[in-house]
Amino acid sequence: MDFDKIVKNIPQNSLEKVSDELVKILLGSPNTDKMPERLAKAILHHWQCDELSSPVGVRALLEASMILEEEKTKASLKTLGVQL
Amino acid sequence: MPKFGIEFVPTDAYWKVVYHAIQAEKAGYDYVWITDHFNNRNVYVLLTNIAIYTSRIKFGPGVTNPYMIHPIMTAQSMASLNEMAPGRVACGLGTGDKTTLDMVGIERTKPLAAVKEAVQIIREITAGKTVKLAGEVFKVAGARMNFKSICPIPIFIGAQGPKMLTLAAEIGDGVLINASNKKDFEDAMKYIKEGVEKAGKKLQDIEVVAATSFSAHEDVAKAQKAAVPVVAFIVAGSPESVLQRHGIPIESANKIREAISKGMFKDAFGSVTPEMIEAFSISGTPSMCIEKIAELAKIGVTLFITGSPIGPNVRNSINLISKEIIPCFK
Repeated sequence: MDFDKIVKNIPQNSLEKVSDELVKILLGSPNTDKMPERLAKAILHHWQCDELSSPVGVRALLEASMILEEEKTKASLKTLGVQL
Repeated sequence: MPKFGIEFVPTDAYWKVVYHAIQAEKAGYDYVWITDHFNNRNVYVLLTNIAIYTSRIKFGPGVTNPYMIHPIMTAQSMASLNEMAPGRVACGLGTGDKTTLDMVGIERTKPLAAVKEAVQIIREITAGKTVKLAGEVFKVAGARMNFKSICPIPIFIGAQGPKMLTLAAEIGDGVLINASNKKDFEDAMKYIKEGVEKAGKKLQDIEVVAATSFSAHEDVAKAQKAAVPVVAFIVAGSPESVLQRHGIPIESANKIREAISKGMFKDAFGSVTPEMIEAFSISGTPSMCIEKIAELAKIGVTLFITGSPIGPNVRNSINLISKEIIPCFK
C-alpha cells in the first residue's frame, strides 16, 4: 500500500479529522504488540511536536493503524471519504 | 488554586501511556504520576520516555514502595531522571499495597520507620553524600553514588493513617492521600497540621495531594459507570474505620471483597452502590467535578490528581478536563 499517495490525496481540511480517527483506532486497539518500534516513536515525536495532523503525522498513524487494525481502518477511512 | 496531576497505571503498552502523558502536558496538567507495581510496565522505563517526549510537565513514580525497591535504587533512578529533566522530577513514596507485597512474599514491617529511613537515604544519596545507616528497616554500610542530583528532588509521601499522615507532613515535601471525599481530607488535615508544626514548617511549605479516583463525562451516568470497577476495589481494600466514616455497611463491603477474591467481578461491580461511588470517587459532569475539587481546595488540597479511571474514554476525558475543569482553577 502506498501510504504517501493515500495521504497526498487527503484534502488539507480533512487531515485533522483523519488523524483524530486514526488515533482513536490505535488507542483502542488491543493489538499493541503489533506496533512497530519505529512507528511508535514517530507517532510520539509527531504528537509532541503538534504534527499528528500534518501529512507526515497522518502517514505514520495510517501505517500503524493498517498494521494494528486493518479492517477498522479501511472502514473508517471509507466513511471519511479517503481513497485507499 | 490547586495544581493538577494525572495518574496512569501502566497496564497498557508504553506508547499509549506516553501518548496520554504528552496529552496531559498539552492539557495544562502540572504533574504526571506513574504507578509502580512489578506486574505492570516498569515505572522508570515509562518515566524516561515521558522525560523525552515532554518538556514542561513534572513527573515521577506515584508511588514507589521502599519494601519492594530499595531506596538506594530509587535514589539512583530519580537522580538519573533529574539529569534528563532537571527540576521536573518528583518522587512518590509509600508503603501501602499489601496485595502486591504479599504476592512477592515481602513482609510490611515498621512502615513508619521504613518511610523515615527511605526518605533519609534518598535525600542523602541524591545530594552526593555517603550514606551510613543502621536503621530499623534499612541497613546501609556506606553507599555513595558517583554522581549527584542536579537539584533536590521533592519527595511526596503516601499516607492514610494518623501516624503516617503526621510523619509525611513532618519530613515530606508533599503528603499524598489516596482519597476522593472531603470527609477524608477534613480528617487528614488535623494530622498534617500536627506534622508541619512538629517540623517547624508552615502548611504552605508542603503540597497536600488528593490522589482521587476520577471520572469525568458530560453524561453523569456514563462517568459513574466508568468509576464502578475502581470503586469496587477501593471498597474491598478499605479498613472498617474508613467504611464507617462514609456510612458504608461492612456487610456490603464484605460482599464485594468476597466476590473479588473469587474473581467474580461482575457480582462485585454489581454490588457497588451510588453511596460508594460518592464516597470513593469524584465522578460526574465537569460542573459536578469542579464543585468537588473546589471543596477539597477549600479544605487545604493544593495538588489534585485525576486517577483511574479518569473517564469512560481516557483521551476524551483528558480533553474534557482540559477544556472545562482545569481552566476554572487557573
